Amino acid sequence: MSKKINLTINDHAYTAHNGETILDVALRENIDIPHLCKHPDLSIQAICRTCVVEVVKVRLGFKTQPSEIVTSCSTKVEEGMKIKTKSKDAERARIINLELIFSEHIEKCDTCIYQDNCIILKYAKIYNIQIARFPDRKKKYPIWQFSDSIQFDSSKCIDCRNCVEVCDKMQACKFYEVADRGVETIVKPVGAYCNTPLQHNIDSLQNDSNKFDCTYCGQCVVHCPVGAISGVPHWQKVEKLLTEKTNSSKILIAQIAPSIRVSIGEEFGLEPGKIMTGQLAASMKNLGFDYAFDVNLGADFTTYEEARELVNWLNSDKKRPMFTSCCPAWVKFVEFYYPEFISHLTTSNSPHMCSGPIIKTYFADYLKKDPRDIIVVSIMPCTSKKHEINLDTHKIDLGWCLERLDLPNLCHSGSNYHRQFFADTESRNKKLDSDFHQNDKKSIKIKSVDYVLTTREYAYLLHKHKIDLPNLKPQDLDLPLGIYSGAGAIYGTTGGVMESALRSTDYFFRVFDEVGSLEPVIKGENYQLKKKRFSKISQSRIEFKEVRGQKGIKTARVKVGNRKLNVAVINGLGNAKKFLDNLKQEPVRRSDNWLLKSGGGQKFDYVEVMACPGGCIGGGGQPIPTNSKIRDQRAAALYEIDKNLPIRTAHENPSVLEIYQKYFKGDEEFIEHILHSKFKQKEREGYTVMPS
Amino acid sequence: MLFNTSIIKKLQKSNLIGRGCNNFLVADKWLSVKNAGIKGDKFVVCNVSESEPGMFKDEYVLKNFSERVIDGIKIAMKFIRAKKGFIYLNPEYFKDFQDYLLPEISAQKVNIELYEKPLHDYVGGEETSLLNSMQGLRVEPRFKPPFPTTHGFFNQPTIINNCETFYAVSLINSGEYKNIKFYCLSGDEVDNSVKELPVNITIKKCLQEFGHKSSDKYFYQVGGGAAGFCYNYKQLNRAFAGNPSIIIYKKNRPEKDLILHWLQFFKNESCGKCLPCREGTYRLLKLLEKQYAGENQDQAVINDLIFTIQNTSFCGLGKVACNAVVSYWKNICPKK
Repeated sequence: MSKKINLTINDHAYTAHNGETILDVALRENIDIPHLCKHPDLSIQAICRTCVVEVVKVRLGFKTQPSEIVTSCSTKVEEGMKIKTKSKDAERARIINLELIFSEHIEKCDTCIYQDNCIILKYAKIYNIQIARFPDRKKKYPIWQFSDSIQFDSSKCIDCRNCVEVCDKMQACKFYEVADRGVETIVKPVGAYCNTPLQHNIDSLQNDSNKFDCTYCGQCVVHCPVGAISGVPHWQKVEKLLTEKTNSSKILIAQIAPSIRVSIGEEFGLEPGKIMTGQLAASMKNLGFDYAFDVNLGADFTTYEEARELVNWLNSDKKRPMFTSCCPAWVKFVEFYYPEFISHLTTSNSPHMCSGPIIKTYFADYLKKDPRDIIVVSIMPCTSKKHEINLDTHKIDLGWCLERLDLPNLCHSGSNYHRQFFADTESRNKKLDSDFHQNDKKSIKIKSVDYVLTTREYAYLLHKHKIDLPNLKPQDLDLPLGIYSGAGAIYGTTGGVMESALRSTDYFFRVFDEVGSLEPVIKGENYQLKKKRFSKISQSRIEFKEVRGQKGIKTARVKVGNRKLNVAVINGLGNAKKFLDNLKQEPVRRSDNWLLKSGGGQKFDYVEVMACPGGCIGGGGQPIPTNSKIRDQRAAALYEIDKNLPIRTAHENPSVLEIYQKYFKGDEEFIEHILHSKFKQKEREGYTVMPS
Repeated sequence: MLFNTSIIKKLQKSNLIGRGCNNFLVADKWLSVKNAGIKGDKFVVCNVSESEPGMFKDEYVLKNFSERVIDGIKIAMKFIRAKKGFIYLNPEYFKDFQDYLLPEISAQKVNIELYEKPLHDYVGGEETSLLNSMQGLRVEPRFKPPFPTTHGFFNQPTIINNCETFYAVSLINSGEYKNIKFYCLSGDEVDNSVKELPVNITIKKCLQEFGHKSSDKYFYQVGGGAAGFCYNYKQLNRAFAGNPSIIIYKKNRPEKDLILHWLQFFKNESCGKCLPCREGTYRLLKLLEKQYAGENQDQAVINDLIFTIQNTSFCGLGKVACNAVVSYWKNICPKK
């Protein structure tokens, strides 16, 4: 119980704990003090100086108690302190500091998706500051883009250095650096040159810039107070498709990630963790999408494939642990920083990289439409997904699939689609001459998902088109790709993939022990119904509470089937680095406490890694602000959804089973092509300079 | 020179105050380091940054009393049981005084390393920026508290003192200390000179000792050519405060040259870490450039900028950045 401290703020008495700062107390008591560089995830910097207050400290034995202006974020409370947050002097300095902030932040408000949610605009209005008092000095500063994921417009940068700290300390990527000094100070990607009037083109302070790269996790985006760093926008392209829909034959499909439904409410003023699945489905239709699907279903496919892979892995002598790979930022981290662990990654695709291909094969077939006329838009809490959809390994080869479709059990013989491509040789040759020849089969590669909108971008579109999400009448997501299990729903939180996979692994192990293979699983048989053995096999374990929680590295020893597995769940790339560095040292050190829990520091069998703190609900595409309390609330809502669903395992999702039974029909090569991917060591992809 | 276990008592008795610009009792600082309950190594750093214009006493001390400086560092190292000491030198002094210091270091058999500042900058003389520089980090200040006495070099307890302080410690240890310190005089119509004078002295007396007759023909910047205050000849009966430096200016120096020179200095020397100093010194310079070019500027904004830089900067550089211009306008050439 820490010592209690009495103090006054604006002549009201408050109590605080020893060790708290003035700002801590103020935020707790709902007293507004502007602050920009302070973030609960990061260490205190005290460099924006907008949180200044006037304090009088009690000095025993002194007649007069002088007052001083201090930054409230870094000043610890003391007994008897008198604080004034709006004193004449404090406000005088605060106004100048805010005006100086605007002098290094070019106002491009009309195209900025944070315009309704911008903290410095809010302060500008409250304090009646003159935004243009000092001329913008960063007019010619560059815009850097990292793959198709992240854009850093340094003409808006206020040099708070949150991105540098989060990328270095929390995510262990160290892709940003602070270079030059004084008013020429610039935050930039490691190794970048800056050719602006003030720069002296002093060499990057990092000598080995090739050793650092961006993994597109987007933590810089959610920690930037002024939106200088943002996701690469896809919303304009999607908006254009929606408005041009009446004139085109395209089918527009949107699918929502697990995390969206518990976070999007925040963009409409609601508390984090408000479940809005029904309203989201309605909003997608209101915007103009033809179908509203759910990536949770994709998550069930990921679980199904990953559990299958895990059983096979553990029954072989492949080197353990097997790592999850549904997080593209984590995959990039391995491919660039730890390529020796590439062989440990599961090849099962991430959820939307399962549901995407299934839409463009199974659902295209169902609709009797050319897959090239189907546009899939994923709504994600993530920025790295924007990079993922461009990867070659995630493209589907329609040519290859069309070959497959020759198989009688895979096509609708009466469908227009079939007729279009196979029935009429003449029209086939005419139409497909450019694409596809019978004797000289070419590949027709298409993206399985075409665009990724972050939660923020999607909310921005809704606001722009005046769709009041919270007040929409809830609808169901569309069939057949809108049914999901609780296991799919919890993917958004750290530990969710692990728990989901363990639920199915438990069941798959029992099947394997009964049958000697996983054939019933590949065939999509609801095995317990088939064997009418409800008691033994169907009673697979549902809850694995030991892998839940926000802690950076969790370890546990779990029983699945007849085996005991050492598992670990990691969130945050900094923690992943710690874990991998430790794994590389054989034998594993017993001195690290977090290893002991898993049975004396033995080898791990299966490890989940999410790049973002808290998992996807803390992702780079999520609403701002984000902090550990908010992440907790979002995660709790996901477990709530799981708890209330009748089906809580991927292997009991009827849509999943139907597709395995009737579409895949045990064709492992086909499953491999559309639901699995390959990895390879990556060279630095770095940045490109965008025209400003 | 003999090591004496009661050095701390001697320091306390002498009331020795550090010869850098922090004005802290040396005995108290050394005791904090000794009593710091932090495991691991402790260090001693001798600060010879001397980046304040108009200050050249450290140069004088190194040139004439290297032996005593090394002895003082050795005493400090023995007191806190530091295995290693450093002398932090600006590039010019590193070049000039290697040959004075290195022989002394080996003669006195003490483990001291010479460290060359990467840049002859101003903020690098501040003790926490100095530590960051030595640790290979950006040369920017740290939060205080915690102080280098407990969290110094690589977060270990560290004594950081000016080289003249170590010189005085050596004198105190051998009983030869006479409560004097070095003062520097420079400026228009005088040669640079250093004199030993009493610790407590008025500006006027100091000038007299240097043989200068103060008059209305001049004004005086006291405390350094950047951070020092400007006084007219009637204001010299006050005690000396801040850096022991007086710069004599002829009164007819154009105001524009002086003001822009001082503002340019701080705009160049700002480390860039905190907003008011980084942006404010730049904006202040731009505004005054425009003003002197004939475009009248809003005086309220200039005053607000000065207020903000002085009161909300992260470190001492911001606090002193406007001393010269404000005191010049107040005491020498009042603004219209």
